[in-house]
Amino acid sequence: MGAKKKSVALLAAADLGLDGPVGAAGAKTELLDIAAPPVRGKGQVVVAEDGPAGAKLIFDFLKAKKLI
Amino acid sequence: MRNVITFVEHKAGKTRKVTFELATEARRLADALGGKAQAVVLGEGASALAEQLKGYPLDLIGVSDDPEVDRFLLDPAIDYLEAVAKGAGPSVVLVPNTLQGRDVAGRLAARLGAGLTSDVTDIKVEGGRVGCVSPKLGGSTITTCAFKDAEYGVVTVRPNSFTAQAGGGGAEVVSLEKPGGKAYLMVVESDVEESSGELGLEEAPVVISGGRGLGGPEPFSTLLGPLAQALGGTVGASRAAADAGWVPYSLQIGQTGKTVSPPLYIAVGISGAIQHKVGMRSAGTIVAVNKDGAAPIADFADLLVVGDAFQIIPELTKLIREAQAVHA
Repeated sequence: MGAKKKSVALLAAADLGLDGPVGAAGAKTELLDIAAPPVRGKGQVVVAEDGPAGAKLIFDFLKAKKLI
Repeated sequence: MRNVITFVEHKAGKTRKVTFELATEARRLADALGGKAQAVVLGEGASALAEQLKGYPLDLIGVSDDPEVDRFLLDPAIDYLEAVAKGAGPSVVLVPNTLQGRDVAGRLAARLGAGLTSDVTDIKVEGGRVGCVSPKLGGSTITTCAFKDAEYGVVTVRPNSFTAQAGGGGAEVVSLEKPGGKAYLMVVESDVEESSGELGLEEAPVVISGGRGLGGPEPFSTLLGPLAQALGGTVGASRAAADAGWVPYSLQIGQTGKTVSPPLYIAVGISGAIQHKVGMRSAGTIVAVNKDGAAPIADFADLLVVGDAFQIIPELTKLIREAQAVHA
């Protein structure tokens, strides 16, 4: 709660002895584009009857995707 | 910027896949910019590694076996890189986005007065400008940033983002001159080495991760280990598993751990909480095995098999081994 009562000092760039451009103007890079990541669609959800059945499901899936 | 310089991270001449990914990408970038692609290899084993790098489409490989590079943390390497970059003229410097690479990149950018883009997963050149694509805020936003300055730019690249392609060859190997006027000092209080599997987690082509559902430390070696071995991958973990002390923190994947993007990710007994998701959502294909079909991972796994991992995983390992035996 003590933090609430503390005063926040505002300093200008010049107060810190900075004479060059600061913030976005001083940045060495610039943002060209900002986008949401490609959506990962919901995949298949399959219930495995037992161990071998579950293993077969994954094995066939990986094989179809050429991951094994 | 026209030329491309790639910093090769290695230990006594042994390097990781990302080195070759960067060598391949350096070529593509240099062609797009109309410049030269060069690699910089420093320290013990550098010459031997340079020979190996000759199998990749670089123009130039700068080498120094200077033992001081290994003796004084990163300072000598940064001095060498700075000298190489200044000698090459306007260039993009590619550095792997690893613990060491990030350190090198930040300091080199400051030395060169250059911009820095980090954890980059794709690079586009348009009209001579280099645009770096990188996921931000735990992968919830994708930004593309360009360098304002036309001189230098430093990029840290996420491993597994580019495909390494051998070929081209014919790179000229040149001996780098030791930057003059430097003296190094280091005080070592203790030296701790933590093991983190055979392959670097960030670089493994397949990551098999275990979570709370595994119930203890043993299944990481007895259940996941054999599957990882069969697939040529490595074992990772969720925060729950690392927090429980079942695996070292070096295996933790997620917001407070490592970020991986392997072509194949298999999550075993992991619910897929946001903390974990941000560390692996960029994987190529995600397969999950969980007892709960309504676990959050169902929303972003390409395949969720609902069942008992202790029954399924050994059978899967067997199937893969059998298939390999047929092809062998």
